[in-house]
Amino acid sequence: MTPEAMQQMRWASEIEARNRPLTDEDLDAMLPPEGFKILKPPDSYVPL
Amino acid sequence: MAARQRQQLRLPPEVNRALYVRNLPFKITAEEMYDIFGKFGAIRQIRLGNAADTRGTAFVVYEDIFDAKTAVDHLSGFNVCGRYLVVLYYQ
Repeated sequence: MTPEAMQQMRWASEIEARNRPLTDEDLDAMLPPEGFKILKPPDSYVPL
Repeated sequence: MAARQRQQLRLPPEVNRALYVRNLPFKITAEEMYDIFGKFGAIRQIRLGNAADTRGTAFVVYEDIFDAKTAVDHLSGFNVCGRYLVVLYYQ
């Protein structure tokens, strides 16, 4: 395992940690509770 | 979605999936929001300001951190109904 490969792995795991799925509780904790309403996705919306 | 070649680059610490958008027209609709922001990737959630002090601002949360970065890179200064969008990473 070369040092570069190890560093690559560490960066990849860091990105994975920052990219783990967000639950609704995570969102409520992250974003300000009042003053905003959650928009319902339109029926025509298809996630990429 | 074709399996995108995941860039093996590091992301700066301030890059975040939650984006804070300002200077939005007050009467913008959910369809327009999803249309503008949906081009860059799957959207986890959008919260639109509806109070006096939060109107014209919104939080857009993406599923994937790289999509959020692409959105910020492309959308800063995007013109919506004559207003230039301000798109920032939300800390």
